[in-house]
Amino acid sequence: MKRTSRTKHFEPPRWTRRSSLVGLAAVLAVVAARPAMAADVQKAKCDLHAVHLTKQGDGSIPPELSFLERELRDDQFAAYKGFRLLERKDVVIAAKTPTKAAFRTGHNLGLTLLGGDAKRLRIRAALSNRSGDRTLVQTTYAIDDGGVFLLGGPSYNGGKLLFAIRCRGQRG
Amino acid sequence: MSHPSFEPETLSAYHDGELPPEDAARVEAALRADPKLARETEAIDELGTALRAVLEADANDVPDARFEQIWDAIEREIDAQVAPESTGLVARLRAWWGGAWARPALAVAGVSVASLALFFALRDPPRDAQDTQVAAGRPTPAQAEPSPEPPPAKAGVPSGDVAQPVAAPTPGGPPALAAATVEDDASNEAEVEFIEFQGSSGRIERIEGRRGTTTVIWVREDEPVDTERDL
Amino acid sequence: MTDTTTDDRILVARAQQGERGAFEALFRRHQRRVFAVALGIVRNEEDALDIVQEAFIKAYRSLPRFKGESSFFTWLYRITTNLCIDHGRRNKKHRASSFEEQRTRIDEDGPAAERGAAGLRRVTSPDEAVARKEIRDAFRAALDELPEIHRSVIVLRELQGMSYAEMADALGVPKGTIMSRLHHARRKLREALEARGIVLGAGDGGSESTEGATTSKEAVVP
Repeated sequence: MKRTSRTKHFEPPRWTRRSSLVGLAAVLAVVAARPAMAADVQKAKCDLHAVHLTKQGDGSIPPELSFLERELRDDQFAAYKGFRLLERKDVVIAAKTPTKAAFRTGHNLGLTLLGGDAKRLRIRAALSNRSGDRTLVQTTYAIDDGGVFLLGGPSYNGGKLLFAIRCRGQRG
Repeated sequence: MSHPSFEPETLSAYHDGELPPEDAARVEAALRADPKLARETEAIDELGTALRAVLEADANDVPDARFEQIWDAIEREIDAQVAPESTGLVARLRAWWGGAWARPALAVAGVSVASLALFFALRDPPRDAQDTQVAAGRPTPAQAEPSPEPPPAKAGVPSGDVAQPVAAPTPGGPPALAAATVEDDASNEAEVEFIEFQGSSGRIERIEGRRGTTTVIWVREDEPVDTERDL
Repeated sequence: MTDTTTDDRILVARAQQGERGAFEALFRRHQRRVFAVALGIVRNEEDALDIVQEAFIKAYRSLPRFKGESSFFTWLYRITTNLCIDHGRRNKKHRASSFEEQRTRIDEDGPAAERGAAGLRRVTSPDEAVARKEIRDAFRAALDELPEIHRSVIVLRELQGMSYAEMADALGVPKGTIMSRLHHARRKLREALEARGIVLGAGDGGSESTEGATTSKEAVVP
């Protein structure tokens, strides 16, 4: 059993492979561990906020983003000093039907209600790039009714974009 | 683990491919004869793999924002020097810096400058606090500047150029920019069941707080590298 | 030559022409790995982050002199190592307490992979497995126990893949010393892990096979 120099282990691509590994694991997870959820919610009303994060600014959070203040004060956002609401969209998403919200930044946020009950919603979200030709990320998540879910990172005007998604189920 | 025919560190060096061929052959023969010795090399391998994995996991704990801050500091440093040093200048500076007299001279100059700065600082009342108050009282450029994108004209009105099968105006919805406090007590606890970063990479982060855990998915739009492979 | 190395070369060439974005791309690509190396040696998160910053500034300043004789990351990690060694010389006193505090903070949040896998329960991906708190804790504690000279060699070897000659060069000691230090580092690390119930190399039906061994084997499969 010949052992050789293991330099090959140390090449940077492993860092980028991690995401695909997580993605693969997630696919398996969704097949194996999908939680049972009563599908008595057929529609959900969602407010979507596109927030511009910049490194220039005085660090203040404008009133229209006060609902995100606690999150924006977290270490995650330590590099940013400017927070501006670019756009808000209110949409109604329906069970199993994809709904696409097109933002003026050029990004599209696709949302699908996968199910839910009085307390919790299952939602699929897909964010595409500015030209709309590439999906940057797609995810399925379960969240408390009215809870905020954040998708961030796309570059925009010298800063980054953060999309806040908040949905409330509509019964009947 | 020691072995009668070679020093304890020899096995480690063999594992690392650092032994001359004749020594390596000797170790290989011993490995074939002794399964315990073979397990020792496996243990070395496992140790290295686990060490890498643990340190990588620790590195992944650091939020992207922390590296953003570091990059900002690096950029400031780069800006300060404008461009990478030219070799000629570096050589000249190094020669100068290497001179026996240069460091004491700079130290004396530094102490003098610091003394002067201290003197003036003690003479003038600190104005920073006043400036800060004034600054806080007026709108920042970001606040004063009208938003290039006007607020949505009507909540729920979809953009015309994208198919919107279900999106509909929210009847009786709250005013566009005021909303957001109604559900402040709702928990943000999310469970990510599936995630796929396509053509990019990203991370899932969490923010702990009053309303439970808020999940943030950070997408990194990877810097495209040109396909010139022949440079 | 890997694509990454090729890409690095392209980016380095552009950065040498003064293209800021190219250097930023190099930073993004290597930031976490450089941090991991620094953290492995200095065992303090803030110090390791400082070293990352210093390493990239130093690399930028030295770019005109980088001739591409080694790959960019080898060169960059050598700069990092030297900074870690300098750091060790400046800080002889090991600051275990501050690291302990940081560790507690991180652990309260849960390991990254566990956090990343929120909702990915029941998935036994290697990343998730290795993130298991007890294994990471054991490794951290075991690493903390090692003297810095031993941490340096084992991190340089396992994380950077340096040869004995390269390590001898970087650390300024004979190659034989590296061989001996690496052996002792591995032995001490294993002993420290075994004291915490993590047994390595005991699988495959070996007589020492224990539950702990199985756990560790599961945890380390890349």
